[in-house]
Amino acid sequence: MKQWLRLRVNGEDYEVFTEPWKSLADVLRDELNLTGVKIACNEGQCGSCTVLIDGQSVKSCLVLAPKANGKEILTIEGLAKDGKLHPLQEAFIKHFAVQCGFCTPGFILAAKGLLDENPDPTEEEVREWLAGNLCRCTGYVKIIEAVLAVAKGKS
Amino acid sequence: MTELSAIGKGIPRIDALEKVTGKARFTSDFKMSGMLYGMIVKSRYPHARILRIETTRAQRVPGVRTIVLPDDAPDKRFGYGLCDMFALPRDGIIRCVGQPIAVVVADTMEITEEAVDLVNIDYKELPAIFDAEEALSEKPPVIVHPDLRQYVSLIFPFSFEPDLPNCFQHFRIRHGDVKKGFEQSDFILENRYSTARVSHCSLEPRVVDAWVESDGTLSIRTSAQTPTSTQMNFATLFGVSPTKVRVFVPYVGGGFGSKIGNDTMLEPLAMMAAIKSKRPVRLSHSRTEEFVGGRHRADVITYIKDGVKRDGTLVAREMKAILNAGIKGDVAHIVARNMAFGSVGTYRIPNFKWDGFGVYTNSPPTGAFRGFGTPEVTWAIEQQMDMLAEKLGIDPVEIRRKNLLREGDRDVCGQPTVAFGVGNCLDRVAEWIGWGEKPVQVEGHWKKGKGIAVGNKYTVSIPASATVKVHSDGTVEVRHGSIEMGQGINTVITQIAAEEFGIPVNCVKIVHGDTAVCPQDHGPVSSRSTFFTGNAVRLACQDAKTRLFDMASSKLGISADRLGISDGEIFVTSEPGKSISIGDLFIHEIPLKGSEVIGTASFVIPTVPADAQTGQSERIVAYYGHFAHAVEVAVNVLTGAVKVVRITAAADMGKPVNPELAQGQMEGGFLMGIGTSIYEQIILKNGVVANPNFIDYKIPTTLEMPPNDNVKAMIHPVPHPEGPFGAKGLGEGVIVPIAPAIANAVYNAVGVRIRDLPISAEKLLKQLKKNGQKEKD
Repeated sequence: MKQWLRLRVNGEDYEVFTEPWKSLADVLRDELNLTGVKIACNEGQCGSCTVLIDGQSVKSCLVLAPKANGKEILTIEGLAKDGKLHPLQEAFIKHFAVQCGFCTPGFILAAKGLLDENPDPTEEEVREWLAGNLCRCTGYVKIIEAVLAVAKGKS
Repeated sequence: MTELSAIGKGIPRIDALEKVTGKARFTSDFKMSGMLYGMIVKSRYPHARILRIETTRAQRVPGVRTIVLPDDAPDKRFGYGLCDMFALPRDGIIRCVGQPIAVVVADTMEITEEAVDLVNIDYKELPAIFDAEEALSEKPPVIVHPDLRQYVSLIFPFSFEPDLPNCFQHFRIRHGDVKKGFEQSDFILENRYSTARVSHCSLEPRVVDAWVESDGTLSIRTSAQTPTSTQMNFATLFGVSPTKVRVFVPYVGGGFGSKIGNDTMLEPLAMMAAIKSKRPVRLSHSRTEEFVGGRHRADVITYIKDGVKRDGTLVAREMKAILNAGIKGDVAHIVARNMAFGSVGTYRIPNFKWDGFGVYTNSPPTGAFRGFGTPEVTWAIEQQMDMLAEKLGIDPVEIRRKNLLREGDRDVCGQPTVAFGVGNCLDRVAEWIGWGEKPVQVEGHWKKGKGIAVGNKYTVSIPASATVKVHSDGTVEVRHGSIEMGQGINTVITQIAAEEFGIPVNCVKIVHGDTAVCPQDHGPVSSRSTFFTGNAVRLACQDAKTRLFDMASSKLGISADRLGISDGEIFVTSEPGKSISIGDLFIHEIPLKGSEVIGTASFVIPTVPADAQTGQSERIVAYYGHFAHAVEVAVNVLTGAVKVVRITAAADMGKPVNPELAQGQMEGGFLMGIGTSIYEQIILKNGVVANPNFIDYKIPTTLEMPPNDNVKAMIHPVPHPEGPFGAKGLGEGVIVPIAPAIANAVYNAVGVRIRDLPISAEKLLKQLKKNGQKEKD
């Protein structure tokens, strides 16, 4: 019943032996200990489990693990390089865009997905893109401020 | 006044780095070897007798390790406030849909889910009651808790009504003579309001890992706000000493009150499962289970009758509030009492009568929700103020100014008014929203309107302790008993300790979330942590400094009262060059005197219990925070949709320790306020939650919040004389006036007043159509 999957996660290759009906979110958390991938609803409605698959932001709780076979996956743990934070991570700290932190990894990766595609979005475009990520603590104000600050910094 | 180095500064959160890198661990991020997975078997009926529980087929599923049954539950009723429930229904009675009946435990979640479906329960259905007013009658068709009279309250003397079989709480306030007051009034306004059942929707669902330690200690790791309550309840429930219970709480992904008193939800069930299976057990809520079983905010019906003079002065106010608690008194027992204080902290009312009731129905349990009853009664009060203003031809801001308490006034419970800044807050929001200027209307179907409201939030007095240890390298380790759930308490504590010792914030280390190590605190409830935990930490720092100064005094030959401390050095205040480093007061890790440099302190605000008949007391609550909100809304007259286009608030929460964190709380409060005003409602159909997911229960997304430029959180502090560096609290007050401000704005926009939350498009459209018909006729 279990099958072998090849996953390239945060630049490292892994072979994982798991049931084929597991979600990518479960595999990343349980098999690869990447607990930065958060599961808040497990139904694809809140965005906390957002990762990048081949550069696209995806809700990993809705992805069957076998579908990610052979793909490049980026989780929050892979964002900082050699101890240097990604500008989004720095902006989230600087702009107080973090409170309880449970939605934070999902938001940061979703925002990365946006800025990789559209480096200079308007506030409205940022809101539209991030409408699939729920936060109950911040009111989104400082999250959007942080994302726009990174966009402005780049351009 | 010396310049403060850390207090009042917007320093970055000390846990932000962990959280943005995904390193911060929440309960479900921990793994225990040999851990089993549990799931609750839930009742299907709102009121029933259990005839038979059949588990043979479930137990035969390979990998099922044990099934916890009602007879396994301790034969003790317990609760967070009112002790009215068994951990599992030992009495054979189910009182709501979703009530836990058994817990299946297996090797994997998949096996557990399969086995849960195979548990067979035979029920005899009983008639159920859902309506709060029907349940509150003297001869209700259904009595939810026939043994109510025997229940015990842990917190205050049990105050039920002998003639009302479903009533578990009745709180009274009597001040002046309302009958005379109404006779003296020029105008009387009477209305009924109601609020909706809503869900906290913390992003982190509840989860508990429970295990029995090798020495028999009952241990849990849990997403909770009140770990020492769990410790005490486990001690009672399982018949052990509190020292044989250990509760770990890592970071919590949002609480908002939902995780207060978790000791009456998943925690005992997980512990029973761990004991019976002899293995660690994880018991968690799926998102659906969070919606169904998550202890919602209860709906509250408020009757309010106001008598005013022609000039707008309040003469008399009579209020009756009914809180529909569902099946548990528990936390609701306290909400149903304390919701009264929302009517106490803001206005000067010569004649006042309050009756607040908590009533059982066969609905899912309710509990603490940000605001703890205050938003529910403010919903009524602040619409009344607007309606009175309109009737009398007085400006809504003016009528409020006229009736606000003043510093030193006694409120309707007899408490003196202290640090009362709402007047300034009102001025500031009125200015920002452009009060007095009509909103700029746009073409088409959207009509704009402005609304304003004020409110307060009391904080109860629960003592806190703290311990501070000074290390030989000058760093300061603080142990406190509060919980970091996003509000930023660890950062605030860091700033307070840094200020006390004159050190950079990265020289402070926080130890939290372990009842074996951390001092008593009760936890972040009632917006108390900065004030109580903060003060305890401050006093503990001063205690530690006393010991340092004592050693330094001997070394320097200067009396301790002439010494100061900064940057790891103890210096003579009149000769700063004469100093000794903290390191020189130690030999290796041992200080020159004693074995450690430890400071400990407790912080207590004595209160006087409110009189049972009149609610009077010199001091019931520790303090009030004060808040004013203003909104501009746009209402779509074709669809009834309401959008908040501009929102502002000004908070008098004392002097903020960290203004950025305070602002963040206000912005988060905007979201929860907007959500619970317009979009959110737990829909119950015959006791079944009909919308237990994020699609059917809508919380605001980025699209429902106004653009950032139209959101303004302001602080207008009046330092509180007893707060640490003048701080109070604001975690809950930030949502209190939002719903009535929006309702007032909607009325201003389209002339429709909604008195029953939420202000849904459906309701609004119905009224608009009716009004449209009237215009035509």
